[in-house]
Amino acid sequence: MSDLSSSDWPHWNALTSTFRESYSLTDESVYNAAGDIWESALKFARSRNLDESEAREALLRAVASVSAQDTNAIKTLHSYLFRAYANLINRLLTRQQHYASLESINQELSSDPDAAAVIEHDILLTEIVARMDEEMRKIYEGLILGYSFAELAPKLGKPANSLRSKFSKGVKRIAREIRGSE
Amino acid sequence: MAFKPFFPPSAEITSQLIRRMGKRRAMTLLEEAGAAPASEPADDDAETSDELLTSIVAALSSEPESNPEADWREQRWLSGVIYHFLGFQAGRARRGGRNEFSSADIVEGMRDRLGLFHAEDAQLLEQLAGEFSDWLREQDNAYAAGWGNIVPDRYERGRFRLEPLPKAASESPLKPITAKALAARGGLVNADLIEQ
Repeated sequence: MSDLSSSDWPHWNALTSTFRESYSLTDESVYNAAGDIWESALKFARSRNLDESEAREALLRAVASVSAQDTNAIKTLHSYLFRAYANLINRLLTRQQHYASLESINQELSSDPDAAAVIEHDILLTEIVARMDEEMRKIYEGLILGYSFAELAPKLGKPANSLRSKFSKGVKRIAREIRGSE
Repeated sequence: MAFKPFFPPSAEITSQLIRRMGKRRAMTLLEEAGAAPASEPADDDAETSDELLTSIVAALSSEPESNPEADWREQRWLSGVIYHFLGFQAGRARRGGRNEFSSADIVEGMRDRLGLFHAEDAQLLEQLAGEFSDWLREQDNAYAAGWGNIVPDRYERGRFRLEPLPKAASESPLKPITAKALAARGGLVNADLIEQ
């Protein structure tokens, strides 16, 4: 795509073939219909505290999903596409709610300079996990499987705040160690 | 980039699998009841037992009411089953077993763990494995699980490699490699320097 930072919905011809393939954008008419509803779609996402990139991602996925269907059988393409988009947005919100503890840890780490520099790279994420002690690893596994600190507390026999603090401090310490080995 | 959730199966496939498991359990119960030994209990006991069996079978076979929170708990449970299955395989790989896997291994592993052994269950299990493959393909270079990495094959959908962590965390083989890569880029990773 020529300009993803623009608030506009780019013209079909402005999309690179790689971009089209990565989102399985196969039907120009569905893509153009998305351009027609883009403004409303963005408002819908913002009213749910989602940003433009999340809205754009969801609408592109909705375009791919609708394009894969028999569009001739769809009576009102615009409203059908918007419903598909709204479903994706609602799923995204549900997912964010369910991984709230993981998201909150990510937010906290992103404000720590050492941790932010390390968690930015997936190869270093794997090293952080490799260096976790047994308890941190159990917390990590719980978080990536969608458990909250409150749910993990009885399983691991410690208060939720203590687990959160242990995990957050531990990741920051490991990130400093990794940065220190530069 | 940040810590990311492990594969969340869709609500649709989860619900279908859970329903199928209920039906299979109901069938098993009925089969066992049909094959029960001929030693006849007292009449009253037999009647109570039949009622109980009927209600259990009805509950297992019925369509569960959709409830977002219950649906989520089921998705999380199923996600955990796959996670621990892969962790088990990673443990075997660490002890010298194979570390290359495909969607067929997910189908087989979930068939055993969910008890879905009928031929007609295969399609559902393949859908689940397909969702897992799609999710894995969206990961960057690897997904960091607590027991090691899941590395998607960039060229063949559905194939992946498990890289188990060494038993002692301090034995991480990545340490010196990553340090070298970091040093070369002033803190930023140069992927070209990371040995495979």
